Amino acid sequence: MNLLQRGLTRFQGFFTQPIPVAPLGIFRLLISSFVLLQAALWYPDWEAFVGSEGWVQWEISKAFNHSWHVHLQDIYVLLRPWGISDGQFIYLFFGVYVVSATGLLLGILTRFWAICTWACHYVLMSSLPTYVYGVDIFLHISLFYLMVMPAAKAFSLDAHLGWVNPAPDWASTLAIRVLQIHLCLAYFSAGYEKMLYVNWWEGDVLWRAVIQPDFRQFGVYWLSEVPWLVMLLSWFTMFIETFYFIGMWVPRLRVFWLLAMIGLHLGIGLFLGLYLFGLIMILMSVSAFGHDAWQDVKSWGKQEKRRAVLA
Amino acid sequence: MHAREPWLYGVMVPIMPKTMFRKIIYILAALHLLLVAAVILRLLDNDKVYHSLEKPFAILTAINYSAWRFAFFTPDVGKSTEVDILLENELGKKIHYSTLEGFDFFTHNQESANRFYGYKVHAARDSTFIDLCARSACTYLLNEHPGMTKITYTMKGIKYPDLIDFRKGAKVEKGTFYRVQFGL
Repeated sequence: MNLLQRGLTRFQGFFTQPIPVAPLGIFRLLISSFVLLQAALWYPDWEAFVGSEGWVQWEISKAFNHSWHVHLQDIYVLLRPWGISDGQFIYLFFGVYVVSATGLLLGILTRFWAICTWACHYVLMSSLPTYVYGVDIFLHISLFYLMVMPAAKAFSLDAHLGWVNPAPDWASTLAIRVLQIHLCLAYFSAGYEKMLYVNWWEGDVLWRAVIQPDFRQFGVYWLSEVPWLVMLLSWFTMFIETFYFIGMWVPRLRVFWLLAMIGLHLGIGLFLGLYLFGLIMILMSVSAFGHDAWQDVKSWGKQEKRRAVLA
Repeated sequence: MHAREPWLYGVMVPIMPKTMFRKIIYILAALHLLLVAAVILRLLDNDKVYHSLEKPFAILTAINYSAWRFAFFTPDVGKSTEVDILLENELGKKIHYSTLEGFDFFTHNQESANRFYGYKVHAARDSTFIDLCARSACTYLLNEHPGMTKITYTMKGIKYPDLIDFRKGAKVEKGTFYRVQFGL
């Protein structure tokens, strides 16, 4: 077998050979829990954001988006004949969103609840385009994947009750690989785009981000006395984002890369106040590569034992 | 016994053989990842291509954000837009809200405050949106404060000094670019 054939066989095997389905179950549990956490944080301000007479009225938020998008108002118009007020409707919608996410978390009729959760999130994003930021984009990508992937194969009531075959197959392998590759592409893009700007190399973007009132969490003006530290943090960010697609595939590097990514997103959460954004990025990386990283850690233990026996 | 096949098998198997179904899924996954890569690597940035694909991209974005570039915090976060709101009544009572002093007047937690950051950026993208958003926000606040009769809504552009200029003593630059007043 020549080199090309061997490469092709390995490439095919990468996408087809059954691998453990645990990452799919972990992904489902983490993302659905995240939806519930986000909903709980949103609840006190729900009416101000989502209400027909909120900060951005329905007529205006509808004008912000494409005409074919499904807006909350479109659904409300269908329910109005039943005597539901717009105030009641937004809380009814909230209830459906939470119930869907709970069904997804439990993993019972997983596909159905995944579709419902994705649909609710889509309507929310279409209705509140002015409030959408990174956390919503990654949550939407995750919910789409949960909708099409065999996410009930692990840690679900569907699998427990025998409604879903929990055995690894080509579909579960493909699902995990797509998630992993998508994350690699996303991080490569995030890192590479930063590298194109001299402001990032000089640490200026990081500096201006932490002093902006929107993001400022602590008194960080002392950072101006240590510009090399800001520059170093900038380089660290660009490096681990751009080369994520290498770090996560090399077993010797994977655990450290994953820990570095967690550190980066904890930093984003703590210093820029983007807690949920930092959290969802951590959850996605842990879902995609956490299982492999854990296997790496376990194999280190075995290697140590073998060495001890040899000694 | 676990005899279930992957999703859609039940629907698709009577129509096409299993191997063909599997191939279609692999092709769809490959197309999805190719699109993600092409958008990220700016292979579709050509004006002609972009305009012809604008609607399909918008639909795909609504579904799964596969036509989205993940370039956060680029090229520059040195500018921000702030909202300043002054409510007054006939007796001279004033209530002042400013996003520069935090978002406590409206949000219950940091996460809601983060969303208001998006509001400021989107609202400032053109004059029509600024006007619509300002009217909407003023209506909301006048409803929240029934005793108030006059409201002034101001948007300011703020530029923060870079690290080197800050060390030389440069100050934050502020400039008002939108102002509107309503009275009852």
